[in-house]
Amino acid sequence: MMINNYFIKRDAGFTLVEMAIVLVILGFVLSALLLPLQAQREQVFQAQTEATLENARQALLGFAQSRGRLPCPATVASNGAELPLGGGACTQQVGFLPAATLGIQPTDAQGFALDGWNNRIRYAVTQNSSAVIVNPATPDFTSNIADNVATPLVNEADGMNAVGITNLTPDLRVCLNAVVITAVACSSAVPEVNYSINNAVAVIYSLGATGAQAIGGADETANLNDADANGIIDDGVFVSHGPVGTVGNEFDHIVTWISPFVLYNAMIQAGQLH
Amino acid sequence: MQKLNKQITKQKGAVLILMAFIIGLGVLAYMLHAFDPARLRLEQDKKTYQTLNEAKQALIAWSVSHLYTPGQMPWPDRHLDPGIYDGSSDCATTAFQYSNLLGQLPSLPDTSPCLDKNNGLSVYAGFSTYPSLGQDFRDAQGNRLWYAVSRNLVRKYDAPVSDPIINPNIINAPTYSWLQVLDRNGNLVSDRVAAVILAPGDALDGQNRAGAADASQFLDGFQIGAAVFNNRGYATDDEDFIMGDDSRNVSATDPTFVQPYNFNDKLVYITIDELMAALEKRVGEQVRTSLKTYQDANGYYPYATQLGTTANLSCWQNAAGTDGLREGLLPANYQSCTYTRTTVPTNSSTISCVNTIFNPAASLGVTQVRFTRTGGSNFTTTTTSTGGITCARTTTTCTCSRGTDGTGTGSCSNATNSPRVTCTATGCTATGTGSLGTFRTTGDKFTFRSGGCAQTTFPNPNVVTGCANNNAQITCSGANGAAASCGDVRFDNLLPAWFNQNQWGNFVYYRMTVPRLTPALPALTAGNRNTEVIAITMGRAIDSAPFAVSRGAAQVQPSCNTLNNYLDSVENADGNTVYDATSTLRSANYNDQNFVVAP
Repeated sequence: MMINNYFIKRDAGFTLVEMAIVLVILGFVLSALLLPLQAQREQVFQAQTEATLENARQALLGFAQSRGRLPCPATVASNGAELPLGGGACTQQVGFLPAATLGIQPTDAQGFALDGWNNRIRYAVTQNSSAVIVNPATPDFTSNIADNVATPLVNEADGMNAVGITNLTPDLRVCLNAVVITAVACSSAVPEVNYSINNAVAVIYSLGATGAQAIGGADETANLNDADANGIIDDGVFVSHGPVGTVGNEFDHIVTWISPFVLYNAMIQAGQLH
Repeated sequence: MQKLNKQITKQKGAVLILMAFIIGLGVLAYMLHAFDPARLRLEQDKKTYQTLNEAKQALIAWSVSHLYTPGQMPWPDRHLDPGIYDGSSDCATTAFQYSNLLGQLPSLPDTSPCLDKNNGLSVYAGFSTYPSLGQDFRDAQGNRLWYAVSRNLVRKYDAPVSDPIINPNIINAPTYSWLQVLDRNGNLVSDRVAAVILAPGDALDGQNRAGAADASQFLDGFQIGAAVFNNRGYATDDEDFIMGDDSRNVSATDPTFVQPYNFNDKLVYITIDELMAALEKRVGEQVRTSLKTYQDANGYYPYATQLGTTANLSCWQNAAGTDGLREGLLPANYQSCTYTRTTVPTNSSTISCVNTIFNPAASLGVTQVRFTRTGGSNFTTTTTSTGGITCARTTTTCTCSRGTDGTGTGSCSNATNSPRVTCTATGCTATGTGSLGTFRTTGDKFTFRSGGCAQTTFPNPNVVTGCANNNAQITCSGANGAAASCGDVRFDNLLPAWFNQNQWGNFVYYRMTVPRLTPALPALTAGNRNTEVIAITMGRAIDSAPFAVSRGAAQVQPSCNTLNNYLDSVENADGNTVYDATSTLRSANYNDQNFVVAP
């Protein structure tokens, strides 16, 4: 019995100290595993978002090549479709990517394209119209109105090809920061400074991991669809730069845009623009 | 039992150890995978090449869609000129140096003292108002891309300043040789390079990129035997750039290269051929639009220019003005052919449109029509309905103007209504002896497109012969009030300035039929599309093997009426009415691009 008891005591398992050591090691191992895993997940979301934005960019160019115009943004109530359907003067200049109109997948149940963090991809399109065109009320970039043969003497045709490259004047801005932006430009200085582009035709962007809820700095505010730092709702002035973690000026938006020349050339090659 | 208990108890600890071991292995495998240097490098390279290609597409797009000088490229962004890599395009107004054509790819517009192409003035301070690429391209390591451009494609800023003439001839007969791109062994890949875009990668071999570092701090080179290859210099017009292997892929004992081998540039290039192909699309679209606008304005297409013409590309017609050339070059310089129109042979004439010609909107439509009688009795009275069209007369002319709302009736006549001119919102009619003559409109022009004015007024040079006495010539007046004849919305005025500055008319074949004639002339066919007008950008003369199939030898331009010196396929050059489809692929011996103008 003595012998048996001895063996039983010895075989009872690890001591608390041993267990503690093992758990500490396991803790180290797991944290070593989970920390990069979290970073990796963020990277995956980031890469997924960038890929979605690039897909959106290509889809918009393809849409323009086949339809001769860009789509209007989708609104909260439009189920991922552009509003108004068929283009023209957009209900909102800044809204959501019209994924249903573009046929982009995947989308949420309402038909909006999502970024890696499951926030809706946003989209803005220039609503500018050439002053020399018969109908300046119709934005050039989101219209494609053919000349009506039945009334040939009234030149009611409008849209990008009717206006022609020479008279197109896209006006979306992507600024380097929000410090000196105004309601319509990246700076009040003339000629304009502080911009990456001051004639973008479309801006497609994700609000990043923190989405619309997080309170970022003025740079993030400039990209949100409510009142901006400059007090303007739905304006065409955006900010883009690398991620910043400084408290009070956090910035994690991912902003891409379409240069007018890339759009023009794509449409020229497709026979949609002169 | 005790023994059994003992064994079972022992297994519990082993499981824990095994679990820890398995988890450890898993972590190790994950770490190895996550931080596998080879995989990370591959991803970086992929990103860099993706950026290079995006930059290439953006640069081509910027060049092709330039408002004033399509085909031209921007000057690079050089260090210290004026700011340290400030992102803007830096021209050089001093004595020309090739080294000025190598720098970083600009994302911002030109700066002082370059030309602001929007206003034709030199940039005094800040940026030009004419935009640049609008995107700051960076490789996977965060470096801005580098860029070198051929001298043939940039504005000449040293005196005397000029813009290069960019058309397909620049491929065969460039002013300066094109750049060259070599492979890793120094063998030629292309000697028709318009521009190269380079990703500098990480700094190597003591490169220090701080401040105003020059190209040698970013771009690399290597040596094979005594031959030195590098991307750092640009000294001659045919400077070569290399697509070398990354240092990581070259062993330190590789006998091909002089060691140490330090190279990690990545390069994409744009050949003049691919730039020109994209440019010709723009030219074709411009031609198509201009021809349609001309037809809308005048009711017919312009006669063509004789093949073989190299300057003053004017439409050609016979001395009597009764017929003209329907096939040849685009009459890009001047359209002076005046068309004689027939009217119905009952010695009365009608201009009628199916819709309103007197549009109430102030800036639209015809505002005034004037008839000049050629014989017969005088106009003695006028009538005007309320709110309607107002007519005024002299003894020989009747001028009817738009009323307050574009409705109503106005007329000029004599007691016997011979002659009599009546205008309503839908058109004017002239009847009676002597009422034929010149019809003049002001404010705008008549439109003769399908469904517009009666087709009896469509130019019909073949039928005109023998009908001279019955002709009524319609003359129009442009919006600027300058009188001109009804072919008078001049074709060259419908082309942008760059079209003739770059002499594109020499490179566009043009053919029209007039399908509304009776009997109808054969319509043209491009692929499966029927059309009345076709335009073909003919590309460069293919002067070396493989030769164009249509010619079977070197094409020689200019050439009088030998179509296969211009067009490359048998289908395009055989002179019949069938042409290649608009989507026909280009190849080494086929560079035609067909455009269906209308319908």
